Parts: sequence; C-alpha cells; structure tokens
Amino acid sequence: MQPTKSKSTRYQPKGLYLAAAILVTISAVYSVSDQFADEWLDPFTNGLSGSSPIQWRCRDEALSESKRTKKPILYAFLARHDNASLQMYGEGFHDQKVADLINQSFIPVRVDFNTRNYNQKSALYTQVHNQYGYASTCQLLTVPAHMTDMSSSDLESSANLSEAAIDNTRGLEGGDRYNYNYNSRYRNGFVRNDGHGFNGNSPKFVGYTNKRELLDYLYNAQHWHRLPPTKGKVAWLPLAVASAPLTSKPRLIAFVDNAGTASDNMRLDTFWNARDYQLINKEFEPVLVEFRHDDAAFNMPLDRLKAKYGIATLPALVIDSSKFAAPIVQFGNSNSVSTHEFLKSAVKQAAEAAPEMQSPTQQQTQQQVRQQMQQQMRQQAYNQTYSQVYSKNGAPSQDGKYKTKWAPSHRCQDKACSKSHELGRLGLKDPND
Amino acid sequence: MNRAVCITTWREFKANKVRVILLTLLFLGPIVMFTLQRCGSPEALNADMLSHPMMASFFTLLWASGVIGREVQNGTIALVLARPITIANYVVSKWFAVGFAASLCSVEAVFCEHIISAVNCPALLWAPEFLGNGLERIILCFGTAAFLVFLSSLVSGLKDLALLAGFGFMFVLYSAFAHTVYQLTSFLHFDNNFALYFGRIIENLFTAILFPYVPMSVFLTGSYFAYGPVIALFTLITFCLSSAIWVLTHREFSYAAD
Repeated sequence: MQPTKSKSTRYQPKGLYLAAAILVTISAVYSVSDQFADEWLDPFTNGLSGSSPIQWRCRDEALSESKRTKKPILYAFLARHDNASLQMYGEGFHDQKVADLINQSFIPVRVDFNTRNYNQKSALYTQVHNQYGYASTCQLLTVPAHMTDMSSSDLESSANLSEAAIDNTRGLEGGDRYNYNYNSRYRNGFVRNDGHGFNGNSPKFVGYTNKRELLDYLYNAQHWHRLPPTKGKVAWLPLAVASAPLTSKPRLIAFVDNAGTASDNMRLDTFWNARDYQLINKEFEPVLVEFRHDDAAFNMPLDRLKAKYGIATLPALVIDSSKFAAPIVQFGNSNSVSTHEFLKSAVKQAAEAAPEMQSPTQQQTQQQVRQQMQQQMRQQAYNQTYSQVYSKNGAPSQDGKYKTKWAPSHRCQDKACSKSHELGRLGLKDPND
Repeated sequence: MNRAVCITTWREFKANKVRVILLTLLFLGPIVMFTLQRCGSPEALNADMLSHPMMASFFTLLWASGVIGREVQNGTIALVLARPITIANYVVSKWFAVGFAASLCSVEAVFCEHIISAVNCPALLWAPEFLGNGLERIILCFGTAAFLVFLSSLVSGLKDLALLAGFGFMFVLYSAFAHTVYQLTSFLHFDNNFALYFGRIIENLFTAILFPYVPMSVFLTGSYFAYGPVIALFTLITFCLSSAIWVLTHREFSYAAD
C-alpha cells in the first residue's frame, strides 16, 4: 500500500489514539472490577465457571451417595487465580477420558476458594480443610467410602503391602521402622520419572502438569483402600476361640480396624515383627478380631467382645488366661517396643502365676483335646483364608496394566504356589498332598 | 504499512554479525537441548518437553533492540522520513517487521522440535500442543515487539535495552515494596484487602507489559476463554504504538549522527 500523499509526515492517527484510549479504559475497568467486584464480571473473569463434563455434587449429597454406592469421593480443590487450577480444570477435567473415569469411578466434589483473597476461604473449603488438613489450591484428594470420617494421616496410611508399596518384608521382620506411606513423591506434586511407573497409589495429587499424570493418579486412586490389610505372620486362630473357655495358656486377642493409622501401625510393626510374632506364636493363643470401619452390621457381633473387655477405641491388645485374676489390656498402639514389653510382661506374669491343680492324666487329656481343637480350627482358618485371598485379591482395575500392580504381595505365580504359601503361613500341610 | 521499511529492517539485522550469531545460538540452543532430552531420556515422550513459549520474547528482544533508536542515532531516520511516508506508517511497519521476523524464528524453532518429536514418536505429529505453542509464540512476539518499539522510540541507539532493564528493576522493587506493605498491614491487623487487590492490579500491569501471554493451548481445547489476557494484549499493542507515534511526531531529527 502506498502512503497517501495528502498526509504530512507528522500525521496523527486519531483513530489509533481513540482505539488505544478506549482499550486502556476497558482494561482499567476490567482490572479494577476483576479485583474489587467479584460477582459483576464473574462470567468473564472466572476461568472455572461454565459447563463441565464432570457431574459435580455437593458434599452432603456425595457423602450419602458414597455410603450407598461405596464409591470414593474425589475432592477437587480449585482456585480461580491459580494457573495450575485453571489448567487442570480447563485441560484435564474437560478431557473426555478423564471426565468419564471420574464420573464412573468417583463421586466428585468441587472445593472452590471463595474469593481472590486467600484469607477468606469458602465454608466448604474450611469444612474439608479442618477434617483433612489440606490447603493447596490445585489438589485432588480421594476419600474411600468407608473412611469419610477419618483424618488425612489415616487416608494416607495403608496396611496392605501392595498399597503400601512394600515389595519385601525383611525390613518389617527385622523390626525396622519402615516408611510405608504411600508414594511420598506424589505428595509434592511429582511422579516417578525413572521409567518404572508409579510405586503405588496415593489419596492426594498436588499441582497439575499434564493429562497423563492426572489419568495415572485417577486409575490408581479409584482402588485406594480396596484391598484387605495384612495380618502379618502371626498364626491366628479362628474367631470362635475368643469366646471359648480360657485355658492356662494365655490368649491374645488383638482388636484392630481395617483402616486407620494406629491399626495399620500395629499390623505392620507388631504382626510382621519377627521378634513379636515368634513370641506370640510360641506363648499365646492368638485371635484376631478385625472390625470394618463404618460397617455397623458387620461389627455388631464383634462389639460384644469389645464390650466384654471394655475397649472403646481401636486397636487394642487383650491377654487373658485362666491363671489371671483379670485380663491385661493395652489400649491403642504406642510403638512396637512398648507392645513387645507388654507381651513379655504377660508371659512373665503367666509363668509366675500358680499352676492349676490338675492330675497328670487330666492335663494330658486336656492337652490332646486342645491340640485336636486347634488342628480343626487351623484347618477352618485355612479354608476361610484361602477362599478370601482369591475372592478379594481379584484384580479390581479395568485393564490388565493394574492387575499386576494389585496382585497379592507375596508374588505367587500360580495357584499351587499361593496355596502352599498360605499353608506355610498357617503352619499347615496341604491335605491333598 | 510500508514494505520498504520492513525489508530495510530485516537487511539491517542481517548486516549485523553479532546479532546473527546470537540469533543462531538462540535458535539452536533449545533444539539441541530438546533433541538430547528426547533421545537420551528413557521416559515416555510427551508434548510437555517442548521449550516454553517465553523463548519468543528473547527472539523479539534480539530483533527489536534499537530498531528505531539506531536510525535516530545514525541520523538515517530523517532520510527515511523524507520519503512520502508518515511516522505512523513508519512505526507500524517497524513493529510488523520485528513481530513477523521474531515470529518466524520462534515458530521455526518450535516446528523443528515438532519434527524431532514426530520422528521419535509419530503419534505426536498431530498433537495440538505444538499448534498452541506456536500461536502463543506469535502473540508474544507481536505483543513484546510493540513495547520494545515504544521503548526504542524514546531514546537513541541501544539505550532501549537500559530502559527495559530499568523497567524490570522497577518491577522487582515494586514486588519487594508490596510484600513489605502487605506483611506490615497483616502484622498490624489492618484490613489489607485493598492493598492486596490494588497490588495485584499493578502486578498484572507489569506482567501484561513484560509478558503479554495469551494461553492459546487452553483456548484451543475449548475448555474456557479468559478475556483478560486478550484485552491486555490489544491494549498493549495499541497503546505502545500510539505512544511511539506520538513521541516521534513531537521529536526533531537531525541528519547528523547523535
């Protein structure tokens, strides 16, 4: 385009000046309104507004639905002025694959910061934050259906070896304090980049970088706390033994929950510690009373035992014997050392107690009867456990990738191996051999 | 827009060997790093390894530094304006020449990365991230070019670089000051919402000028559209060009070098 000859060199482009003035005014109004008048320009300024393919629920609705459907709740902490939140919402949550996975496997709840002022949080944020203690602006938190009343540490803890990413138990058996918190790198917003994929799962996902990480997290998080916790290497007797008449051999009744940090610690610290489980197997009649958190119907028959020994919170260890005037109880799980001392003191107390006045023939008969009963009970326990392992440890995921990840922790390659493994754990021989 | 002014700007750049060497290094550096990352890393390929669109700002800085100031310093601007061309046309042509050249360089850089990615992983050939990254670079180039042309119109020679550094330093000073004020008001239990909101407006202003970024990759997914960055970009371009034109029309030029 040739320059117009009529215009002088110092021609003033009034149109451009006018456009600049108008745009500067609009920008100023926009910027001031954006900061000071949230609601007025909300449809224009809020990147988190608009339709979303995810079916968000309010918290109360999610809690009741979670109880009904047993699906985990997925809390999404989002802030409109946080770039990672905008990116996660815009790119991640609008992806059809991500949206389908969330809608199918989770009950999603949005926890938005109320305003730009981070000091003024929304009521929902405060409520969730007070319970779970998370404060990050771009974060996902998975809460399994049976753990909605628990705290953040309980959510992160797991006593299933696969979930806890414990691939060898030498540390546990040696009594070393094992950091079994699940995939701590995820908590800092990172994932493993060493080509080996994830170590496991986590209830928490911080920050956002790409869809792949988000999908990986969601695939893992949907199964969090679905696998049964470990029972350690203690040769547990059937539950019926807990109600049987007491004998001179001390009976150890362990009351534990299927979730929660304290119960998980007891399972991993004591039931896997060689020093403790050898002592228990030798000196006690061990009985495990496992409660299911937030399952009143299942717990009802077990509550009688709990009431019998005056136990209010889990976990607890009760040692009773016909020689004892009253049962000895350890409430809670302080640490493995104190639990070991507790067990040793019970053994000592039983040894020091006066022996029951019985004739040698009576004692011999009673011993034979007890051995037969224990043999029967162990056989029943084997049958129950064997069927449980294969009914519960079936791969919960949708594709083959995660089947191997969630396989039983002892890594048995076939059923025969697994069967002999379970038999060995219970101290039995295969009846078919 | 005047084609001759554009071509003169590009030729002038080509004649400066230092700039050509710097441009080559700026072009090759990220590509070499990217290639090493792609070929030397065992992790799965993903589009997030692309170099950041901010690279476009450096290309623009290289092309735009002293784009008008040099002509003022050499005295050639008076000769250029002796032609039948208005100052407005001259400024817009300079802005376009710089923006176009910088866009071309930075888009070529991302295109090379795209080709390397596609060779390693053919599935990434049609990945939308490359398109989004390229568009973001073009927007950044034209936005930054407008501001640099304005700075160059204020001074002679390469003093616009000093102005830019001063502007950046002001931003750092302001951030420290705002942080102190906010901490102080919090400590004294004052209602610091006004300070916070006002401070954010100033921060947004600095950011819009120094880094006129529009998240095109997010817009392309159709997830949401933020009006703020788009308004800020157009405001920056029109305001800077208007200011540059106004400054130059009120300035006397001599034929002698400064």
